[in-house]
Amino acid sequence: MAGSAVAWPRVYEERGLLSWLTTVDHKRIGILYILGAGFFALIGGLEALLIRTQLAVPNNRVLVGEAYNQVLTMHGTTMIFLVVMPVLAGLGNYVVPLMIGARDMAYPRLNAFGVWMFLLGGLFLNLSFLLGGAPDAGWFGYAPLTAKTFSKGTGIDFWILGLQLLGISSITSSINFVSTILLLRAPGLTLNRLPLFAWTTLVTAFLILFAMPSISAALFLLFLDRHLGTHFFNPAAGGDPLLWQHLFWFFGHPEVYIMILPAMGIVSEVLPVFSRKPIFGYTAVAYSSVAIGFIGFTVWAHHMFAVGLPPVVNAFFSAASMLVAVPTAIKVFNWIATIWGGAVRYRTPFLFAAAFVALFVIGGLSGLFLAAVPVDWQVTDTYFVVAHFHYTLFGGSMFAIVAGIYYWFPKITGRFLDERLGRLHFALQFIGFNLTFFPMHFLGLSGMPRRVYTYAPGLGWEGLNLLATVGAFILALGFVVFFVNIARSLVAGERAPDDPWDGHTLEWLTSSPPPPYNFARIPVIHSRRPAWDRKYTGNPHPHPVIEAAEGNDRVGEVETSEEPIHLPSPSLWPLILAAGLTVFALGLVTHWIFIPVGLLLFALGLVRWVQQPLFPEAHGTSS
Amino acid sequence: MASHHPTVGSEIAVDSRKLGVWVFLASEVIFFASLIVSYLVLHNRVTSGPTAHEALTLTIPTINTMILLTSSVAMVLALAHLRDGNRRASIAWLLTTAWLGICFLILKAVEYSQHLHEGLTPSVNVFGSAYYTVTGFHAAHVAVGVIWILSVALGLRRRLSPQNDVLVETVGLYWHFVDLVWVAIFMVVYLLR
Repeated sequence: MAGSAVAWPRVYEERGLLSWLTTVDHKRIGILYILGAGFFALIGGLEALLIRTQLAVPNNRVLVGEAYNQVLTMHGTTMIFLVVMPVLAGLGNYVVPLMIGARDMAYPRLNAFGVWMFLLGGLFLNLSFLLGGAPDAGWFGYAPLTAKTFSKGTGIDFWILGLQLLGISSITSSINFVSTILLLRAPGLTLNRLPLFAWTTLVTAFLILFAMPSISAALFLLFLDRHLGTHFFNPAAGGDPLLWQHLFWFFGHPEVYIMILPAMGIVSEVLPVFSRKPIFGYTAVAYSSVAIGFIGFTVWAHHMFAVGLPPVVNAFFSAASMLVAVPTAIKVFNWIATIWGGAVRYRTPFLFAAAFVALFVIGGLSGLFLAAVPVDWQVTDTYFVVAHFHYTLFGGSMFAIVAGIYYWFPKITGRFLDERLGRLHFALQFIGFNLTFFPMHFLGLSGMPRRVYTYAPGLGWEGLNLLATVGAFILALGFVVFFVNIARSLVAGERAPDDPWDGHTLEWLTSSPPPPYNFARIPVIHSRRPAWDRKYTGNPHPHPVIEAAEGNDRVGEVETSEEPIHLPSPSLWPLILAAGLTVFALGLVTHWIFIPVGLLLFALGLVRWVQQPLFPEAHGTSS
Repeated sequence: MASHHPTVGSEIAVDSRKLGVWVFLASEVIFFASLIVSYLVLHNRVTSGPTAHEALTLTIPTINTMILLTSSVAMVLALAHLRDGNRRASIAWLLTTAWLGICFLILKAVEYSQHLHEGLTPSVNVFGSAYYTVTGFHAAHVAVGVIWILSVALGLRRRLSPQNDVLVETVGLYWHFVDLVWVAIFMVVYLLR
């Protein structure tokens, strides 16, 4: 399929397990992220169903007390750190290098390390269920509840170290995204022409880099409190539980934007393609992401309105939180204007993307309620908050992620997802989601507290709770249809051409699935919609094309290229390094024997990684 | 870290390894800022046991400050000599830098043992907790830096050429950063005690 000058390591053509364990190809790494997130989504989803089953009727005894707390904590932790973040990292890994005309990420082996660290960190966290009980202090692990005095078991230690491992994964992948997007863009692809999904991935990477160290420091302090007898969060010895809250939410609120910005990027790609129009207000959509990122670091204390900060502080954080509505609304209006007057094709990706806009607006509006201190005091720690953040993270992030999967599935696999099953999936997910979470607004307003495993009859909460539980099972059925659709399409799905949606961006110019080297010849970019221009040069167009199109040849399939393509060698050492860290963490929680074993694996992985040249033969250098 | 050089399309002409280290260090700033802020919030809330004013002396930390600042000069010279094509001198200055780092760690250990002798432990009070955590994480960064510098010096001796000055430059960036963190710690922990 490609010219003889193309030289990539043989392992890329192999199909065996080893080729996956040693892969440094951003596309395979992206797939590993997405599959891993899918696996953890099953666990997190089952946890959600357990919670809803318990709450279906008053005084239920399905899941009570500590077990309920464990499931609740792991549901939140799983969905945030093991599902939404990694699936977005996975789509970013797969798509962004293709979108910007790069052959791989800037640091291919560090990229592999990131995905192994995620998979092993996720398994480590879930191992806690088998080894003495899962963490049970909620996903924000407030001190001093997490102190040794109140949480004696190892659950909290699994939580601390698991999040540290996942944090390492996020930091390394973010460094990679920043370098890749800043340095490896194709000629002519200026930042002002960068696809919006790449834009939001870039901003998100910076958010992770500046938010993650704060929780990392806090987790270290908590670990020291639990095991070395330090007093950071122990009020009896002068320590300060509020310090935990500040350090946690300095991470925790940007984290919300870490989960929503790439989702907004996906929607900004899908809506124009299916409306057959360019995105309305490209510059505003791109720069509003940057604005959200900046403001996102100045709003964390709105999670702490009820702890008694001075009124001036509350007023500042209240105002800053409301300010986020401005760049967010800019995006919403631009999306609506993009659809407006377009020749809309109502395919599944469009349905999910459009639903994202509607549902995210609801989540954003309830967020404005919560930004007002008096309202927040009224509904803090009630189901109103649960409704709010599920509208942003499920109605928002998850709907956009599903849109992205339907959109890029043909590129990743060379096959379409079934349209009829897709519509059924959409109907079930949309109805199920709203049935589950809309009633929670009313439950919260009438005072039902979150995180409590049961409620008494006669408070007027029975009907809405039962409705929410029914909705949750409809939602789950939607995901069953989704997984069936994926499995069916992988085996017998309709074959997809290279450019199934008449796309705008560069990834549609290579084959489906793309070759290991992505593009035989790196394309030169003249506008924001390089693929569209190549197909329709001469049409009336908002971004005039300077050069004539080079014909309809697929960029990935040129007979010969001028110079040989060198792809990095596969490497096992990133996996060994990640395994070393995980075993080391296991030693800290369980038996000390794992500590030296982990350190040995870590040292072995590191030394061999440094010694192995990045590229085969003597063409490249290593560090 | 891998080596990819920017393609022609990028407006930003910088080696990707260098950018990667810069970005990583930016992230580290927040990590140390979190620790230092925690120290500032807590160190005056001692309920029993030694306070910062009672426990800390200036002699060793002042010497240590001079050692680290000198080591940064040595690191600059290592890079300058490598760029001039003088590989042997570069290696010598790298080893000097690493040695100064080791001296810092030895003096830090001496200081810790004095503290422990006087009853200041991480668990004695909230000042002890914060003090050992901030300085301990910094010392760990110094130790990582020493290992990194020695491995670069070893690599330079074996097979790497002056064209690979980015390897020295990246470890240098890290080393200067660790120095800078120490200067901040010196001011916040020792001078403001």
